[in-house]
Amino acid sequence: MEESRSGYLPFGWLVAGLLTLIAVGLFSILSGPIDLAATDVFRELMNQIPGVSVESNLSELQSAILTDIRLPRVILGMIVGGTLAVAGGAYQGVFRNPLADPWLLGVAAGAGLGATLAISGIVNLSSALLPPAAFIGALGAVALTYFVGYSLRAGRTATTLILAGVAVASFLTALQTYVQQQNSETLREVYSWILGGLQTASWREVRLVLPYVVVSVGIVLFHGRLLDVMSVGDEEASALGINVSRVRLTVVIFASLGTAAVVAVSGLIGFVGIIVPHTVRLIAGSSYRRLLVLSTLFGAAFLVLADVAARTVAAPAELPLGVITAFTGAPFFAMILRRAKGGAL
Amino acid sequence: MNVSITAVSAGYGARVVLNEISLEVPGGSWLGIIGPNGAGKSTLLRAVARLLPYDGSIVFDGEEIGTLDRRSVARSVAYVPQSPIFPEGMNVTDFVLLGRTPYISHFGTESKRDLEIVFDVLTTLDLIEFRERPVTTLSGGEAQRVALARALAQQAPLVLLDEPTAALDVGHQQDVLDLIDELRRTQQLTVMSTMHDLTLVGQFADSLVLLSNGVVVAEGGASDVLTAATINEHYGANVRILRDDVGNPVVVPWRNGRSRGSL
Repeated sequence: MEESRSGYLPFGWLVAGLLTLIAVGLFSILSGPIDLAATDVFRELMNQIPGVSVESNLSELQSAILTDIRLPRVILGMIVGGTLAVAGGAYQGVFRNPLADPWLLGVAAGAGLGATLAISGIVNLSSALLPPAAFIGALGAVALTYFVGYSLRAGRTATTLILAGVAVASFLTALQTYVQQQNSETLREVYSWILGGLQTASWREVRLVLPYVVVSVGIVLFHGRLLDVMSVGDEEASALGINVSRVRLTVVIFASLGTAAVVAVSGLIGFVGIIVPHTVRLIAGSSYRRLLVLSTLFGAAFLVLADVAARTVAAPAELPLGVITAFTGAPFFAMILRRAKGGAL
Repeated sequence: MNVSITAVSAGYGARVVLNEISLEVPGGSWLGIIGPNGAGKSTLLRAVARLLPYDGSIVFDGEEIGTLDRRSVARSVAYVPQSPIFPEGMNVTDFVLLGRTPYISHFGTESKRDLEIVFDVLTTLDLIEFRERPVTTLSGGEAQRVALARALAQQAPLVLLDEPTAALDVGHQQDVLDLIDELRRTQQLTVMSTMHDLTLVGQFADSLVLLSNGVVVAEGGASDVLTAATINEHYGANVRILRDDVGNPVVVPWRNGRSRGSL
């Protein structure tokens, strides 16, 4: 009976996602200006497992490049990509809108304002405090959107919330632009942060975001079945016994929390939250029980791959990661629009 | 399950659509709700499914539903809207499984038993060969049966149907109504349905209630409610009432002077 269902996560897809992620991770670790032999890297990685000791032929420098530079960058890329992709998929579910992305409720504008204030020194922060400033800005923006959306007379619907997000994002972007204009000497730094990237990746960043990401992604993943129920619309989902606004609030809070955390360390990397869930939807089906898990895995793999491109295409210069994802994302998006049937949009 | 509706008023924002409606629906019976567009028929169903805030009292077998949580309400009443939403990429089995939602814990998953119930329902409704079809590819009649299947999987003693035959041709209308009637008898369901086709609703429902401007203006058996005068008064329609073989009223629209095929 189970095989006639469209709503579960097939084991084969889970394995495919995990294998892709591992393969992309290894490929990324091996890519870079300094060659590391695959066998040595493998031995060195085995050495990291407690209780295992294998002889590797890496020099001290090579070993440091592996464990202090490339490894944290790959891990952070996975965290950022997986979180942005699953947050995008979750937003598309709760708002029943295929164009929803993690920035929908003003996260990007809020983080941008926070980062700009920190970089330009307006709030007297050193730039080491950029991540917390961006994090607070992002969460503040979502809180403001919820407050505005729920105080509207039109009622507590998904549409009023999205419109409130538009208003809040425009307002915060205007503030951010103003602050940026007043401090034009920091323009370049602000701009580079907005385009996003993993240049500063270290274990410190990984440790910083991991707790937020584990909690928020975990909770979002547990909502797969409820998002499937909500795909029949608010009224029918209510008639089936779901407290629709509570589920929407929970998913939005945790998807936003995860997004805010990763944005704080990586800047505004666009398109991942749209490209990845839509690709998964096209190839593996649209049940949220598949979509959320597979988006996490393939989102992680996609961003690591994009990061390899970012640091090798124009080496030794590094391209902003947001440019790579948008460069592949925009044409992809056009393709989605061509394939989407009228009813899907 | 007996349904008692006492002095229920409801609306959307400041607009009052239902004005102190009172109705009794005996367990196992079929109540047909008729009335002109905008009379409040769908609003009444939404209030009974507690999808809408209301004033007054709605009681299922002695229990006031206003105090129940969403999940308990969903175990008592299944609601099939006029145009159910069929999500892209979902197949028939999973759509019908949604009916089991009120029995699954918040972060739980469907049990083997839930799946068995769904397969029983699919078998009963002759939908088993459709089980892997995407719901977006179903025809009107199939879609209506699948929507009914989800309501049955919900195993609620009260089923609310908003215009169950609106999108169907006359043959499929009869099929669906026969099916509902059979399910009502075999599974002791109480049915409340809104319908536009006055003749059909008179043939299937045990009793009718005519709503107009948010109040009950007539109720009783088909012969009592479906009179030319009543229909003319509330629908502004010119009709004649004929009788079928068993004496049920047949409501025929009448066009003065032109209806006899005169060219």
